[in-house]
Amino acid sequence: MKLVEYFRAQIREDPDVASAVAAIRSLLEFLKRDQSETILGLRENQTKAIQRLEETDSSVAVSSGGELFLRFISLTSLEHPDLSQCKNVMIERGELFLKKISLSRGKVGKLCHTFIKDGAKILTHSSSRVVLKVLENAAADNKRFTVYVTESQPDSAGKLMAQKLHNLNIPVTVVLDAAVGYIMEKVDLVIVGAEGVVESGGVINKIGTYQMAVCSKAHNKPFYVVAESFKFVRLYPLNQQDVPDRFKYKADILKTVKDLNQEHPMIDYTPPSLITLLFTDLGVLTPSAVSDELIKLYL
Amino acid sequence: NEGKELTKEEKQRLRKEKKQHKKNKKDDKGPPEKEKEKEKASVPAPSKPATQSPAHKAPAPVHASESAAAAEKPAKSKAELRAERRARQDSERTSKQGKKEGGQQSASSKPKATPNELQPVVKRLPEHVQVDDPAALKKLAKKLERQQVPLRSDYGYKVSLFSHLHQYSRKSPPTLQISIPATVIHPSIVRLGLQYSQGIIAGSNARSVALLHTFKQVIQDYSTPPNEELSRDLVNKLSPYISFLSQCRPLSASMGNAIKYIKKEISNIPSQCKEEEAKGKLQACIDSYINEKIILASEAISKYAIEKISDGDVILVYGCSSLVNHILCKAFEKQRKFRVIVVDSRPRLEGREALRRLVKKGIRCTYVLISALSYILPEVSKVFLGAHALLANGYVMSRVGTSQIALVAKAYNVPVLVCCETYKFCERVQTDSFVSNELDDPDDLIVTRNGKSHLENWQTVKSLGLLNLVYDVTPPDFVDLVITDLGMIPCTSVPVVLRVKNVDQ
Repeated sequence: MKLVEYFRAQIREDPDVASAVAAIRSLLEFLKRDQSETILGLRENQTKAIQRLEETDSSVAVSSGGELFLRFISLTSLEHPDLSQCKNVMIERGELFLKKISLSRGKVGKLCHTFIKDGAKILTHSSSRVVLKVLENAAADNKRFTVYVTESQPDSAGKLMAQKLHNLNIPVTVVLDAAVGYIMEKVDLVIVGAEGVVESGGVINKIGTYQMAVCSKAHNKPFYVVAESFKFVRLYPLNQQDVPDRFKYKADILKTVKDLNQEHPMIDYTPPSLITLLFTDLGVLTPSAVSDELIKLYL
Repeated sequence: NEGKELTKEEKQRLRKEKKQHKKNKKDDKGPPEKEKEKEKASVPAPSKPATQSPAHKAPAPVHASESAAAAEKPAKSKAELRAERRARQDSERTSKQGKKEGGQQSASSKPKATPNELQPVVKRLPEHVQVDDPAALKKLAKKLERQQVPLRSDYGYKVSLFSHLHQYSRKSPPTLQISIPATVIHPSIVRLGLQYSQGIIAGSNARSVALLHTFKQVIQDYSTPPNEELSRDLVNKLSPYISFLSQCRPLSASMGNAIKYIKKEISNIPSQCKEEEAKGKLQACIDSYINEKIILASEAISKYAIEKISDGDVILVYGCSSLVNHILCKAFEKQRKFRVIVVDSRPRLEGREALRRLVKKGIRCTYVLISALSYILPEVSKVFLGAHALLANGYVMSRVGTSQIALVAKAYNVPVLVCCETYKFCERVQTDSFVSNELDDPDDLIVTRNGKSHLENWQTVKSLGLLNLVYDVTPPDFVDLVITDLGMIPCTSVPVVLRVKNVDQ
């Protein structure tokens, strides 16, 4: 499908962009090229497009970003008699939304880097572009700190993160996933990114995040999560089992493999009781405030 | 007085006589709060004296005595008293500028210690938690006498920690003191009160629905007296009924919200509306309230809750909540495979009713008493609880025993889900189960086994008290999820919902 190709092309061209942003750009392009005659038709096509994108890249962010995009563009008065006018209004809103979320990473970075004190030792998990931005801002602020990154198997994303940090001249050490408990007494704070922020205030992130959260709680170290607001999703998992399967495994595995019990999940759920603060472009939130923000976004 | 309802003029005359009598006996002791009644002199007494004083905010007067001010009727005229109070406040304000904030804060945090403060920000304590305060009791007795509602007397020795609550006996219903035919109180209200006090109608939803249906009947039989407006007179007619019902059994939070809604609807009736039209409109309002807030809400909640029930689940429920039973029946209809463990406790043994309903549907059930809770919890995958009310700080008020279940479930890491409609959310804040609760008939605890009734003569033992609590309060840390008709929210988001609801209205 042309949509999927466009999406993949976006990610290839700009590897630094969040997958959700790429998805939204593709959706906007799709909207521009859409030939439907009615608003209902447009919306249905958008929903179908979101589903197709989810099949390509089954991360939570794509799903949440897509839904928020759809809500944002249709949450305006579409009372114009002329369809092309309505479409233009929707496209305008879409561009606005896209601009807003492109800036969101910068906002988060600005908010969070003040929490990193001089001489701090930071632990992070896997590779997150938002955390990278935060550390970049802190380094630009002439703060001295060291970073420990977990290797994060099975895709060794941690090594990628270490490479990027090395390029920023930040002292970094890669540790084994199993060494989180060992290293926790040395670190001052833990910062992780998120793939999705759920209604309870918990986060869905790369597998291993939950372990890190439990360890940091046991050692009384602050556990910070940085996430843009388009990652807020209307899920409410009660425990690890409650997270839907379509997020746990990669899209191609879901399609080909028969018995999911043999597969390793790629994400886990961290409950809000283990999280100290969430840094978003809407501000610095406690986990219980996330529900407040979600109600504002969705209702 | 006979059962005949006094006319407005007679009531006013009686009041004036009493005032004169008092004036001759005593001096005025303090800025009275009954002053509001004089303001509404044209209307027969309101059911609850308003907490706002007509003037601006006042710093806590040092001499605000707990005893006197409540029971006194003011002797001087309204204007004189207001001027006097203003002068006093001015002098006090200049001397106590700094203490103003502190006084207000301590007043709002300790309303029980100084219940008659003139702070408009402090909410007046409801009388049903002030039973050990003789002044509040006297005030209540006066109010009931004025409304011609019988006063129900407390029964038996009360445990000291709960001596501020009423404790009634089922064997002496308030209807004994009403003459027949009861002309002051509508007969269907009398019947409803009896059903409440005997426990025939129990359960938050059942009580609210019965109340609303009875109000429909009352509105049907109501006829506006000449020279009166329906919107104002009907509200005042309802006040003695509400007092009577709260004498039979303290009102629940859901009933309180329903009454607030009805009063608002009545007072919003335009004055040029014809009586039949107005009555029809009110009946339609009540019907739509029941439909939206209770019936449709339970459908919406079932829809959300069914998503949380997966095949192979073992669900624990406590007591008999109409909403939880409805959810389980709906989930069973949708072909979900699960089994239920019903936990029950004395003396109400409501779990048996829940068990009966679920088994009739064909759901596999297990029945235990609450003492076996820690034994059965390792098998459980989820806990579903109903709620009597959800408080503004996120605490869940429910049948006694619920917080115990939530606590042990938390210790075993079992998710606890509370199901509650939004009309049961209330603005009250409570952190413990002592401050505001209900004491049921202590004789219920007497158990008869093998022909022997232990505790039968508990009243003869002076140091023995029987405590039959009805509600308890669960902190939000033990509750993982609240399912409401607005969606699934964490327990801490209750104030957000209240805020959104107030904006809607």
